[in-house]
Amino acid sequence: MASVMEKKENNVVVLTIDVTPEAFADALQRSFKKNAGKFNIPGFRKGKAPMHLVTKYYGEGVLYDDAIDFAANPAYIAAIAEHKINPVSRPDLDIQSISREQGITFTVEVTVKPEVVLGDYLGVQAESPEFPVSEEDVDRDLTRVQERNARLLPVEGRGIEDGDTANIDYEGFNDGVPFDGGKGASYDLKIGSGTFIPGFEDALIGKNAGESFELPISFPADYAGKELAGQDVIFNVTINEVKFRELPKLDDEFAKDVSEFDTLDAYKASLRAKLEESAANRAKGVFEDNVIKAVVANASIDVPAVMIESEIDQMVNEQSQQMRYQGIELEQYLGYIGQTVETFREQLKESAEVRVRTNLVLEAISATEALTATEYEIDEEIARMAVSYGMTAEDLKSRIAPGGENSLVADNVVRNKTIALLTEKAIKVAVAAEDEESAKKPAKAKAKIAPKKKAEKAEAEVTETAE
Amino acid sequence: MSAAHDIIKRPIITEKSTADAAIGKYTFEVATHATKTQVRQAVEQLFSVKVVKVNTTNYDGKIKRQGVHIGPRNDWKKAVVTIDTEPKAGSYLQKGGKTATAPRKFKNTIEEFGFGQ
Repeated sequence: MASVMEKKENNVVVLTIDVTPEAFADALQRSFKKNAGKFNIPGFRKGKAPMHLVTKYYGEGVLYDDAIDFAANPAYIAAIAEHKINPVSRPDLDIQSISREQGITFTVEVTVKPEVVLGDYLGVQAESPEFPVSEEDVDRDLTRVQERNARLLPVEGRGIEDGDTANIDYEGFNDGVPFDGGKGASYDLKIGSGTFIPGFEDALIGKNAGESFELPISFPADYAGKELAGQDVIFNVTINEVKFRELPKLDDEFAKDVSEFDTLDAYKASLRAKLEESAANRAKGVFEDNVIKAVVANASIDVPAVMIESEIDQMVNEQSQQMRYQGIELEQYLGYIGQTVETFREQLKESAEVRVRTNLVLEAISATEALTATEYEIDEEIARMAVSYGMTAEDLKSRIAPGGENSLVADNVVRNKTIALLTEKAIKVAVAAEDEESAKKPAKAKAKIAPKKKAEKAEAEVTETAE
Repeated sequence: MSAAHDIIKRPIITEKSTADAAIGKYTFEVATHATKTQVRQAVEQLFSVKVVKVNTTNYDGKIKRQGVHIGPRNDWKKAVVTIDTEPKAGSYLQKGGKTATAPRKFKNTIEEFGFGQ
């Protein structure tokens, strides 16, 4: 099974592969075995007609379809291994000649993984924003907890004020005629919430519980219901009850109630620690992103369109799966927001390219740095995944191991290691000072990183991705 | 009506006959009036083989009806011809103990056995 490789531009490779007559005869035999049950020849039960009669009766062509599969697939795989290429597209097969005597000669056109020319990737400069936690942030959190713990208490001895909740019965009349949606009973209306038409809530202020009154009011001109827009109507309103929100006092007692801490200060400190942690995580995430972006920008890759397409496919799949969890079909959703699948795909194109680039670069780096996942690290990763899926590690492992998905986990581990390595070696640049520094340094830094032309191109890409 | 092609009408190709062909027994439909001798001669002439044995059997045509019309199909005759699968090139022992030299070589299979006769 000789094969010849010929490189074309755009990472396209053409393989010319010969299959020997013996191998082809073998493939024909297998093809016949597979299809024997389909041939109907008078004098024979189905599946009992000998091969030489079948080929005489139907022609040899009936066996070719599968025979090509049987013969070409292993030959193709062998050729890939022989030339050490990494195909990313479905191979495009073209039969040049086929016969029992000569075997098959065919060409396969396939797009291969592009070569990644890595730029500098250790010690790149990347913005590292800080997200400082201020006293106000802590207070805001505290207020939120306070409000969540607020109680509704009945108002006594005063009229309705802004912020109170009034329980009302109401019925609206337009020229003495009740209208649709104008009636409600025991409705909890929060004054100042703007739930009802403008003026309604204000008109209740100052009234007392138990009062009944007529409320003349006009609907706004731009009201959604056309019959009512701009109409003067009268509401019969009865106030059943008025309540106000009582916020708990911020003291040690409150801290005990809502948390396991004994004093308010300790609770505040813990809130602060939580906020700081999430801020640090966020900063780390942003820094990581920036580092990766910088590294990717330094590398030059000629990304084949098929890779982007298949990435888009994957993204669309992910999206539609997510949608399905929420009970909507992606097509339906796109219909709502006035898009078609095509325009949606077009939108995804840019981020798909970024993803492909990032993956390729990270892969290339982990290959050059010879990063591998150890058995222990894989187990650790599985244990972590198990926690997030709510399964035991053994359970998850037994589920993913048979399908060979273990390599996926390993890939993940390697990828994380690569990112960790990059971030560790990267130089943090404060955001504010970035302008000055990059103005001073870039000439030197970039000259070192990559030829000038590439650096410019890379810069252009960064701005693209930033959008 | 004694030309070889008039004696041998067509091969009979079924599971059974193909299995027999593997051991040198070839099945044909032959003319109803043909004798075993005629069949032997015809097969030897057409396929260049040495025939060892001929078994024949007559079949009555089925009675078929098409609406009110009733009529028989033709009767036919089947011949199972056993050929010598290891023919000695050249000489054969004839009656009387004389050794005769056959003028031609024999094949050990009937390659044409199959479709398109």
